[in-house]
Amino acid sequence: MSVVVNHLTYAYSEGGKPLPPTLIDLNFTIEEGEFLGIIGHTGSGKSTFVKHLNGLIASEKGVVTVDGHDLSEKSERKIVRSLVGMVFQYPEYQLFAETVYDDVAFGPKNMKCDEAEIKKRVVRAMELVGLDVDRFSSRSPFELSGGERRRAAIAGVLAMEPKYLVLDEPMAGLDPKGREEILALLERLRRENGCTIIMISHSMDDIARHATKVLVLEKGSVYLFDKPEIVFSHAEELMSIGLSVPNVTKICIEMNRRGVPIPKTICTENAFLNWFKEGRKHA
Amino acid sequence: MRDITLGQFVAGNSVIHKLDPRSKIGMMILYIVMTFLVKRIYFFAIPLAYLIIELILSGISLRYILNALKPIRILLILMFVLNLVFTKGENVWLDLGFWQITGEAVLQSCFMTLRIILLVAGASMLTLTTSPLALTDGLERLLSPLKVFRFPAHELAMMMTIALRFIPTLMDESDKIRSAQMARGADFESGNVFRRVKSMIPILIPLFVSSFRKADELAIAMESRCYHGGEGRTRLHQLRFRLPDLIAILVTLLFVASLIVVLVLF
Amino acid sequence: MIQFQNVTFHYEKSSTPALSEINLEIAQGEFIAIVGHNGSGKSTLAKHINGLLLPTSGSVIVCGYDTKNENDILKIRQQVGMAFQNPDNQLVTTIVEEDVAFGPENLGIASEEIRARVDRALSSVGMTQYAESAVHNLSGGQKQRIAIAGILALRPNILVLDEATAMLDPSGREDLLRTVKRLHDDGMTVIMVTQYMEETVDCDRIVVMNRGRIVCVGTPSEVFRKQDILEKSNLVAPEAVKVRNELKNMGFEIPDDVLTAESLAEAVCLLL
Repeated sequence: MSVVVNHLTYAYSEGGKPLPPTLIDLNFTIEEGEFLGIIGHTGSGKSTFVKHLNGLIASEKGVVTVDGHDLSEKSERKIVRSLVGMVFQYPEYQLFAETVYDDVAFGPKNMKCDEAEIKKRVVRAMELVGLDVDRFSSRSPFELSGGERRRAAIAGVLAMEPKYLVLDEPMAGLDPKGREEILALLERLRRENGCTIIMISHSMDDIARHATKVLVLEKGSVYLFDKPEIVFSHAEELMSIGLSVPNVTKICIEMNRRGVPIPKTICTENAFLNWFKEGRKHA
Repeated sequence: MRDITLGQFVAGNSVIHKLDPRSKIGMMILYIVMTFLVKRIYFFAIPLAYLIIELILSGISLRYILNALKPIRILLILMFVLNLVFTKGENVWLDLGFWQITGEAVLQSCFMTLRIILLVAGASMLTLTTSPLALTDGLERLLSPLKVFRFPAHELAMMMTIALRFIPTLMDESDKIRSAQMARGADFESGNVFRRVKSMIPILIPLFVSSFRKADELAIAMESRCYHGGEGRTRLHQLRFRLPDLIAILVTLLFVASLIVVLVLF
Repeated sequence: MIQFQNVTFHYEKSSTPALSEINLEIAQGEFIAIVGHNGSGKSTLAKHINGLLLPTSGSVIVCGYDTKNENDILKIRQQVGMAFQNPDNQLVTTIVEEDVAFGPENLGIASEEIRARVDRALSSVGMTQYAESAVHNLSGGQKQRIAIAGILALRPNILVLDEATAMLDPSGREDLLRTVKRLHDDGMTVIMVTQYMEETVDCDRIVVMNRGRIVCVGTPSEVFRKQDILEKSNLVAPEAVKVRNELKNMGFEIPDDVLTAESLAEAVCLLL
């Protein structure tokens, strides 16, 4: 099963008049179990696109299906919302309940789970994000630290046990340790729960390291859609549309400029060091 | 949604737009006085003429005035009917046995309804031709003499300024929070009134929390920028009372005077 | 220009000090980065520079004024401009130029002089054409540049950026950093609080904070050499430095002043 995007076009409207389209004829398939990184600068349509994935925006032209459920059908949207979890930018700003437990339980409650099931899900979600159930359950979400609040908010989405997890810049504003924690969580979700991850991020280093597929959006269209090493091997093109590339790619570009033919597909630290070991043997 | 402002300011470059907001506030007060001085329905011709001249000079389409009247249409109808029912008179136009419609009642109904229409239309002329910021500015300066009596004119104006600045930001934010809660399965559309109000809690609480945080951070930022209350503050845009302001006020006074003359003579 | 003399600071409800025994001297024209993880005390330190927070013990002297002296606080705040993290929450009025004018208005400057300052400030952040725009229609990066313009209109000598890039996208961040670097070139003393180590490679000195203490001060190449301190402080060196350190561990000779992708590529090419 997968997310299929077929000829998706979308335009916002203002005062009844349609604005120029934000998304233009998108076509691609996100396979189950994938870690999709979405890049593109502000206004490229990233956020608008991911809002389609659980029917917060309804497409007028084109079709998005999640596991076969067509999102243009109103009746299907409810099913899809339990399949696709959405973590928005700065998700801690959506916390509202008196205790962390109640907040995390909000989603399962809306899904009409019974009390025992809700409890099971909350405990599981809190454990996943690394918030100790005994210590945090009865605390107010507003007295947690920044990183903890972020994780509590993500737990609120995970408690719905989505098959697909969509995240819009989940690491924004966190310190390096906080960022690593979130990335480790995503890796774990994918490995252990088979969760498909769809992540918008500006950090090319993180995308290069973790994504299995990268979608580059530019002015509402698909600019590139491929494996990260292939996408980042188009470094010059990416930079020409004002996007940055992983730092390792930058090093490789500089080395090529100095006459060292290091492959353009190298975009992570590990790949770079491996090549270096090999390259040194050759030399 | 994004460009919402208080009132319904229509940007423009007319003589009326360019008047000092203080003059416009003063003119509106005089105009209101006029509509209250009127004792007989045909005397409304004078404030009406004034309004029409102002409308033409401002280049504002009549549509905006009608739009401003729309929200109070129920009130207008109610006013009309109540006056029709409760005004006593002798000149019976229609006799339904239990209820008589008299000529006096019809006249009184028209009189009261017209007065409200003229009041609202005049007041909306002010907000249509004056940006909320200019209005705030004008009010602050007009009220500043009251500072002697410890009236917080500056503080009120500052609060208005900040409110105007943050309304669009908070609208955006409530949109985002709404989306986020909907993605968690929140349902804002079904159920009875009580349930719907309750379903707003997951939007309202984060919005309150965020407003407090904004207020806190803004206060720190303002302090860092040497804000220390209204004392000794100057402004980038000085309000200037110019010749057109003088003429506008004089013309308005002329209208008031002529109304008084008419009232005394007839 | 700025002296922290044995500064300790307690937040009211907290039992542990947010700052302990801070001693730091910053000279005119320096570009300083203060780094540390969330809660390390770096923002608390920054807020002492313009007297938003006052030391529990010790003192902070800015341009010869003690921040504890209430009468001098406006003079200090004129000297020390401060930009904060959330671009939305530091702009006061709806229209760009009126916001930039907010600071000078508070100082009671004549309206013609305010006009001149506003125009100058807007042009030095490259936002002149937005003078009459509504603030809420701008992007995050543009809002942050307006915030800087609002500070410049006060004609300060010191610019403190309290995680001012944290909420910006990469292009907004670049814009802002470019603007700040230009101001520094024109003589501004810059103190930049940040978590992004990439932003610190060009600065004169880095101050590393952890648990309210300064654990290390030095030039970028000195600081990035101390992997153990960075690790203990929950910080991550810039990617190029990480790769450099790995290569060094593999036995390659790479000089310590290699901090960027470009210089690393150069050094590596020499090895091959």
